[in-house]
Amino acid sequence: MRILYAEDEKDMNRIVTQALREQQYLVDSCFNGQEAIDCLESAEYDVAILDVMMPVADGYDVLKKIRQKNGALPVLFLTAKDAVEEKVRGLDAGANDYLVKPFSLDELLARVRVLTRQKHAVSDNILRCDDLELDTSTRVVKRGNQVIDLTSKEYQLLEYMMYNKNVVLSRSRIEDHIWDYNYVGGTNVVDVYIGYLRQKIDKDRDRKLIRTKRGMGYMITDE
Amino acid sequence: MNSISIRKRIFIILFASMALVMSLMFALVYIVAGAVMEKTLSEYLISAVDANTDKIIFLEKDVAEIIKESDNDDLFVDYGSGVLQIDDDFLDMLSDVESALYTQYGKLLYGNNSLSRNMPLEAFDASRLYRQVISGKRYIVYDRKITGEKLDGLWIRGVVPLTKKQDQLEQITRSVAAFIPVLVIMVVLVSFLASSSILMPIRRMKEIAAAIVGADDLGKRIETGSNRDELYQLAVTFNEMLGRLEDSFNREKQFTSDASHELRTPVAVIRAQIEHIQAKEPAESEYIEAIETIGRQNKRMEKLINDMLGLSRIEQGEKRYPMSETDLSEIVRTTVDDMSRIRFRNIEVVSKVEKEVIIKGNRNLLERAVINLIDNAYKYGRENGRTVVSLRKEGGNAHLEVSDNGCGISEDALGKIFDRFYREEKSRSEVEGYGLGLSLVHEIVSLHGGAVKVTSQKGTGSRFEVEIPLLLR
Repeated sequence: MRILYAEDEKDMNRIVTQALREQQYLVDSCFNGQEAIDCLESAEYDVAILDVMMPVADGYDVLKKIRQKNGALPVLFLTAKDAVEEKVRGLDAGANDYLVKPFSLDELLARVRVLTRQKHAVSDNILRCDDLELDTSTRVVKRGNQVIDLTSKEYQLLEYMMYNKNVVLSRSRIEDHIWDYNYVGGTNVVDVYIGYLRQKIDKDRDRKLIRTKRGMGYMITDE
Repeated sequence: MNSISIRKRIFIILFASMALVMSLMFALVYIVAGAVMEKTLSEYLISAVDANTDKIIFLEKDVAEIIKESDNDDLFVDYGSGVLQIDDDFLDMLSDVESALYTQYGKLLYGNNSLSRNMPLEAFDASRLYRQVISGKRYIVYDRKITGEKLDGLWIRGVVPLTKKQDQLEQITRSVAAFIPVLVIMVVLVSFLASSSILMPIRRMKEIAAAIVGADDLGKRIETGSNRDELYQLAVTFNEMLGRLEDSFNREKQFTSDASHELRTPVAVIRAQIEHIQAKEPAESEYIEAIETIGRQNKRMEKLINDMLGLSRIEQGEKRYPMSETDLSEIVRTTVDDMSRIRFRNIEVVSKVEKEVIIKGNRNLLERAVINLIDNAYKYGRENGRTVVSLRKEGGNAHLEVSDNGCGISEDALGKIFDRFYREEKSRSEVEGYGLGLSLVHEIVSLHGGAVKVTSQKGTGSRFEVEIPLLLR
């Protein structure tokens, strides 16, 4: 899950970014609207969290850019303006959700989960593939009754694949989505992590869920 | 409380005045008609009597005998040594005028009608009209002495009853009375329509005012119409008042909204920070960072609250901040001294202060204003730059100038720089503050009866100029 977060208040930005990262999200945090617009140019996101009042370009400017470029990206507005007209204006402009400051971090995280569910057209926090279950709120992964322990990156990779169940994902797409700009591309990091996941999920199982599509990439499937 | 509506009052006044005018006119017509009729009657009486004067001839008795034989129509009355021949044209009864011939002692010679006989004898009065009441009836009387050969001592008295005039006046009154109901209806109708039409624009105004109250929409205005009358003036004044009300209402709304926004931000950060640290078992460094964040945000909120309180206190004016003779030179000198000690971003402060610039003011507020101006120069001045503070007397004013050589202010921002919570966009994230400092300066200077203005060129710096009237001694 890759999240775009824009907030000009430095402390707020740091705290929320940290909280999101602790939830295994990959976060690109920006301090003004223009930075957010630049980020949109170079990566694909699952959710955008935007402060409305920002210098250079405000939340509405960024939202407009998002709707022009990638219509489906769920957008959550964060703002200290609580007037009903403001909320209506934000939602009418195309924001998917609206949270007024001060807000609870738990609520913010829950709403982010709702938005990712909406994006992937699922109705609860549990993603399933055959007897494999992944709970996005508790981050617990089970195969049958057996709990599987995953590292942060393994979890992110599995979650991404399960959101895109039965879809072939190319290595570069996975790379873009799970690893941030600090990661130097061109390595076989995706193959390595797929190997780890196979070890934990498919080893000693009759039904292998993770498949390799030669020349195309990987997919998880129950078909 | 007088609860009669204006409409009713206008109606009553109109109705009463119209009724009064009509009664007066009626009375006037009555009097004038009476006078005219009496004059006509009098003239008629005079001419009737006059016409009779030459109808009497004195004849010697022998002559009379001869004439009597040839002319039987005339009347012959013995008079003194002869006979009076009274022509049969002598009209003792012409219309209502009755004439009679008397000797000067009052003996009736001719005029055999009841009135003449019944008239009590009054001394004859030559050629004068007078009134007399005879058995309850009023008459006009006219006496005429007859002159002529041997006719001395003869009088003709004519009378005409005033009943004729009375009858005619009664007739006029009756015909007018027949019109009274129609007139009353007309007066009522005209008064009603007039009061309605006078009040129509006021009624419309009232409706619009009610609409404004009902819809809570201060944006509405009253139609002024094209007729530049008193109501037009009222509507224009009313609209001006609405405009000012709307302005101050909007400013207040903006202030409340901005203030709540600014206060929410630190509260939001503190809440998020506390929740975040409570959700896990943090390392010591995380604790320290959290405390620092909370402290920083708390300080920010404190400053914001102080500034807001300051602003609202200044609005209370002199009650809160007593004014007295104050040496502005001393305040500027000491403030510059203090501020240059806390050197910020290595900006140098130089000052040029004229001595004994005395104004009527409040020391604390003036200090605050100078601090805020220098503080502003610190925030927006160029790093390692310089800020120049100067104070001098100029044309009856204390002239304070604070200029920096920093980034300057865009033209767009110049007009808003003294607005509360206004900050130039880029500065929002780079410079601390809430945009209250300069509006405090503005309020303080205004309270001292002065003005503050700013000139700036993007890239080369800004100059703030404050003018406060000098104390006259």
